[in-house]
Amino acid sequence: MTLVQMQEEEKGFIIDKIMTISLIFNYIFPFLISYFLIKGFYKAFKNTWPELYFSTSDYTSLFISVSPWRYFAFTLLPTLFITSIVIGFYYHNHHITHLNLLGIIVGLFHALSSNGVACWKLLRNDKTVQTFFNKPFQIAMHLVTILALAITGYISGYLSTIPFILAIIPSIEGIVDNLWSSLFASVLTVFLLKIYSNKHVDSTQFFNQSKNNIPASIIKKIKQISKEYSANENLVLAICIVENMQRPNWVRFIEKAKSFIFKRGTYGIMQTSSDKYINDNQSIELAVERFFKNTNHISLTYPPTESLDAVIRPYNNDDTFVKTTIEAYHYLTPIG
Amino acid sequence: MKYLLKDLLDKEYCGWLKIKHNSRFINLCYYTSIELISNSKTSQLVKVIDGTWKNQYINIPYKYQDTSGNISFLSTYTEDTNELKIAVDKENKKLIIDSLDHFKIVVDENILKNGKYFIQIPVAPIEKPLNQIYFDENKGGSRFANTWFRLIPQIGTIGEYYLHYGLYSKGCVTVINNLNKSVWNNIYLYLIKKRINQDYIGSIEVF
Repeated sequence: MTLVQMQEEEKGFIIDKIMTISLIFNYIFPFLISYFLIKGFYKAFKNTWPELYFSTSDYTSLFISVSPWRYFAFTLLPTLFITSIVIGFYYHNHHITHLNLLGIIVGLFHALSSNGVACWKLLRNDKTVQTFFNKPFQIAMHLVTILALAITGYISGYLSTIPFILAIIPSIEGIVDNLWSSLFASVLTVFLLKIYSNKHVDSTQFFNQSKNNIPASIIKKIKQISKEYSANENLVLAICIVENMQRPNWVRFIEKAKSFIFKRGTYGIMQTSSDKYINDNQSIELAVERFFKNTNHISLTYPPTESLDAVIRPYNNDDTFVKTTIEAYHYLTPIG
Repeated sequence: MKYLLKDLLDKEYCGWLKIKHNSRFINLCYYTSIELISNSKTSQLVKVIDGTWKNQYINIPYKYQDTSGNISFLSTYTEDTNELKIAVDKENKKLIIDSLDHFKIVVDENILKNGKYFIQIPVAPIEKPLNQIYFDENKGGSRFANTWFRLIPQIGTIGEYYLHYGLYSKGCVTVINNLNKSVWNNIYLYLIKKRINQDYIGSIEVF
């Protein structure tokens, strides 16, 4: 081989190396940018989603958890939108390929680092994760979400090539030009959103909503069973209000579906343990008989908090649940 | 058959039921006496027996209503036959309710004259904006802070005198805060159930 040939070969090797590195960056960067933008979005809501899953201490989470549509919209849409835009940008400017695969990797990585971590913590009984309903079901929901996010990533890859997405992707110059104004606007928006949507939220509106979402037939049952067992009706109703917030009707419906395979669990609006499925009315009767019989005779008004705490804890020892139920009780019953 | 308008004590209602009647909104207070005329799928037709809207026929919605059933605001009628004994001691700044307690008040001695006043059944929640602290029951406030009881003098000109919860007085009898408990909740829940006729809760002596 002559010197020129050797130099040519070396030059070709270096070019190949540069192209390989460039290729890697063309895939690593969109992955990293998508991933951190998604994380940033959820961080902006200061939401420990999904570790706390349904947390009554964060009313944004409550608002989201009220319906399955909101839950999956909040979980999937940001990933879909951000990943489509970022991959679309790289497709448009750097002509990358394997878009669906890239999308799946983004979706999966995000899912594993959030839902996957939550699952791991649940399996290890880590105290930083709260279990609101039976663990197998909670883990199953996380697994479903992981799968859904992977599918969302795949769809993002597809969407990144459609003309609509391509039309809204900016050029590099456009990004630089608008970067500062966008940054300012987004920070201001998130700040205002947090100030007005979450910080000064009065629990009354959440208790109103939950109470008015409980079917009239269940309210009737609460009244009837409370009278039968001399239970404090407002206390039983307060518990149902909080349980209805934490595990709304659509979650109880999924628990019912689960009971066809795994019979043992907690069921109904009062989340009563049972070897088989029981409905809302049955759960009320069992729970009142077990935990709230004769509470009508206990002074639950003044001083209110200590007596209520002692009555509620045997039913559910979780601090957040007890605190919220006491609040719900005082929502129903004037203090004094 | 006679009933009472109840189930209004939670924070969604705070003692008032707001209803659309003849193209405008009216308010019925907790413990209003009602005669039930008929039930329909969406409301109950009633005749109001006491208060500002007495003898009016009004459609009251159900408190809970869906495909599974409905639950009314109305409850069985019970009458409190115990006489209301209530007085204002202007010199010692006290509201004295015999079977309840003594409460600290603020009152302008020069405006509210001595004598007997009738306590009117509340007409509507007070419209003037109140400090939100008045409603904070954890700090001695009350969800009924916007319910004021109007005082109608037995003799003399009817003025704008009220028994209410607050911080200061411009002629009213103002029950002031006790951080340890919600005094106005106690007073409201005691007074609102009393009646001497279809217009008044009872009479109050100011001395």
